Amino acid sequence: MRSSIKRKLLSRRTVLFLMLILLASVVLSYLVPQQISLSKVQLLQWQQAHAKWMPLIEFFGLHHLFTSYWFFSLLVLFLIAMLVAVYDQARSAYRRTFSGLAEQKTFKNEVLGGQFSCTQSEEELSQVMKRNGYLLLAGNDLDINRYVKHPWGEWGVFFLHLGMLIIISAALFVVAKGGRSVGTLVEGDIRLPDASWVFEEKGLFADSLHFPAAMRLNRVTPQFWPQGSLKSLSSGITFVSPQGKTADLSVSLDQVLNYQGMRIYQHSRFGAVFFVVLTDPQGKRGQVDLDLADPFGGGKASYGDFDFIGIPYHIRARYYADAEKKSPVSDNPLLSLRLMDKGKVVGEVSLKKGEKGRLGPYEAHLAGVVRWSDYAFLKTTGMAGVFVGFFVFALGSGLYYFTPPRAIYCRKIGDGFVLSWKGSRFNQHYVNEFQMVRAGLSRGKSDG
Amino acid sequence: MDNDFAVLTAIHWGAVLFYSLAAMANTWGIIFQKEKVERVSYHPLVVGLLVHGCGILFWWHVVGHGPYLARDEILSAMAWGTVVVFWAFCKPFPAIRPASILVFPAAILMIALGIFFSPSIKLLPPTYRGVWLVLHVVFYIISLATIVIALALSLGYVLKKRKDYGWLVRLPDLESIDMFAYRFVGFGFVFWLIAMLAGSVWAYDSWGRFWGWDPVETWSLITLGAYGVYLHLRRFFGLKGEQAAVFFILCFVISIVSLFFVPLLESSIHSEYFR
Repeated sequence: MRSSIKRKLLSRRTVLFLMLILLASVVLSYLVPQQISLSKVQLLQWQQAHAKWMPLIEFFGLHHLFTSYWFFSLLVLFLIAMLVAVYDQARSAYRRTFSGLAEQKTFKNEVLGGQFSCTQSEEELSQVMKRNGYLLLAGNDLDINRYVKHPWGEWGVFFLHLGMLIIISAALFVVAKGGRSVGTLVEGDIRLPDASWVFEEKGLFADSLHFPAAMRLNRVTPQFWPQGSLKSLSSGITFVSPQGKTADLSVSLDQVLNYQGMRIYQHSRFGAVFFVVLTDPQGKRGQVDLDLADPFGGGKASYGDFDFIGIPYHIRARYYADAEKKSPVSDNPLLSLRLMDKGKVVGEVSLKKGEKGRLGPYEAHLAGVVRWSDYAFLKTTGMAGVFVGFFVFALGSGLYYFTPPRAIYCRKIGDGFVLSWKGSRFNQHYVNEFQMVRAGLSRGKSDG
Repeated sequence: MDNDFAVLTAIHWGAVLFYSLAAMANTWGIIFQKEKVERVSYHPLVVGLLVHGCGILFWWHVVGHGPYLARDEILSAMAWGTVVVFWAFCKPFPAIRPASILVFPAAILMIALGIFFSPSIKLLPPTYRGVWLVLHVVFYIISLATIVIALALSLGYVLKKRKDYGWLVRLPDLESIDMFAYRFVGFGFVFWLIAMLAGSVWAYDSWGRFWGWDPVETWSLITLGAYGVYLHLRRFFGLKGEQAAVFFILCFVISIVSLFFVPLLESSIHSEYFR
C-alpha cells in the first residue's frame, strides 16, 4: 500500500497534473481580483459587473483563492509529492554516484563515441583520465573501472528540488506564524503597548501582535526631490520599555528598525493633523482634528472630507504643504476649510498656523499642526529558511546545468582495456571529451 | 540637462550603428557561409558593447541610480546584458554562435525602442535601494538573455526542420539544436527563479512582505510555472523536437508579457518600473 501511494505521488502524471493545476490557480488569481489587492468598494464594483459568475466564485472562494481550503490542500499535496520525490532523488543520486557493479549492464550500451581499445597499463590510463578530469569512482570484480567527471553533478536535481521545498515550506511557515500590523503615530503623542492597530493580519497559527513598549513619535522628516517625488522619509521615535528604559531610535523608508524581536517599517503614508478650534456664536468652543495626507509637492494640495458629532455641517479641507505653494516641505502649511450644508457652501476660510478666521457661523482658529505617519510592525520567524532554501536551490541549479556527470568505463580484456563513454545529459556537447582521452592515450603510446 | 539627454541619445545611436554593422556582417557571414566575415562581425560588436556600456555608465552618473527605473534605461540595460551574456556563452558553447542571427537584431530592437520612448530622468524612490534589488535586476537580465538564445535555437530548429535553405547547414544538427534549446531554457528557468527570490528578499526588506500577489509578481510566477511545465514535459514525457520548440515559443511570449507589458497595463507596487 505504501509503495503504491509512493508510486502515485512520484508518478510523472501526478507531478505534471499538480504543476498545471497550481499554474491554473495562479492564472485564475489574476483574472478574478483578490480581496487583498482591492478595496471593499472596488471589489463590490467588480462583483456587480460580473454578477453571473458570483455563485461560482463564491463557491470556490476565488476572491481569496490563496487562503481557500482547496488551494491549501493542493499545496499540501504538492509539498508531500515533492518531499517524497526529493527523498527518492537523494537515494537515486547516492546510488548513481557510488555504485559500481550496477553500471556493468550499461557498459554494453555505450551511448555515444563508440568504443576503442588501448594497451596502456592501468596506471598510465589513470593518469590520462586524471588529466582530462575523470576520477576513478568504482571498480568491480568483473574488471570494469568507472571513471567519472563531475560526479557531484548527480546531486544537482536533488539539491534543486530540495531548495524549492525548503523555500516553499519556509515561506508557508513565515505566513502561518507571522503577523503584520499597521499603526499610526502622531508627533508628540504616546502610543501605549495595548493600543489598537489600524490594520492587522496574522497567520493561522500566530497570536495577535503585541508591541511590548510604549512609543512616542518625536519627528517625521520627509525629503523630496526637486521634481516633487519623495526622496526619503524618516522618523525619530522614543521607545519606553516596560522596565522603564528609554531608547531614541530612528526608522526610515530604506532602513528597517529592529526592536525587541519586532521589525518596524516606515510606511510611505504620512501627513499632517490640523488642530482647529471652532467657536460657535454662543461662545461654545470645540476642537476638531483634521487628518490629511501629505500633498507631495509645493504647488499640490491634498483634500479631506469630515463630519463631526455636534457640528451640523460637512467640512471639506484642503491642505498645501507650504503656504507660499513653493516648497513640498515647510513649517508653514496652509489649510483651507469649506463648510457645507447639504451641498451648499456656507462658509470658507484659509488659515496658516495660529491664524483665526470666519468659517460660516463659527470662528475658526488653527491652533496647531503636527505630522503623523503610519508604521508597519512585523513579527516573523522562518526567514532564515528562505535564505537557506535559496542557497540550496542555487547550488542544485549550478550542479545540474553546469556540471553534468559523464563516465568512461574501462573493461580489462587480456593485456589491455576497452573503453566506452556515457553521459547523463547534454551528451552531444561532451562526447568530444572521449575523443580527447583517446587522443591522449595515443599520444602517450607514441611517446612511449 | 538637455545636453545630457543629447549625449545619451548620441551614444545610443553610436551603439546602434556598431551593432547594426555587426548584425549585417554576421547575417551575411552565416547566410552566405563566409566564416571569416562571421568571425570579423564580432569586432564591431565589441566596439558597440564598449560604446553602449559607456552610455549606461554615463546615464547612471547623471540620474544617480542604476538602469532599472525608466523604460529607456531598462531596455538599454537589457540589450547590453543580452549581448554580453550571449558572447559569454559562446565560449563554452561555440555551437550556439549562429543564434547571433537573432540575438544581435534583438539587442538593436531593444535599444531602438528605448530611444523611441525618449530618455527620461526618474529619481530613485526611497525603497529602490539595496544589493537585493541589484541582484533581482541582474538575474532577470541574464534570464532574458538565455531565453532569447533559446528562442533563436527553437526558431532555428523549426526552420531547419521545415525548410531547405543552404545556409541552414551552418546550424548544428537538429538533435544538438534541440539539446541546446533545452539547456538554455533550463538556464533561463534557474536565473528567473533566482531573480524572483532576490526580489522577494528585497520586498521583505522594503515593505515587510516577501510576496503580495501583485500583477507583476503573479505574472512572473506564471512564467516560471510555464517553464517548469516545459522542463518536466521534456524530462519525463519525452517532449522534444518541433513540439518542444513551439511550446517554448509560447513560454517566451509569456515572458515578454510578464517583463514588458504587465507593468504598463496594471497598477502594481512595482509601479515605478518601466512606466
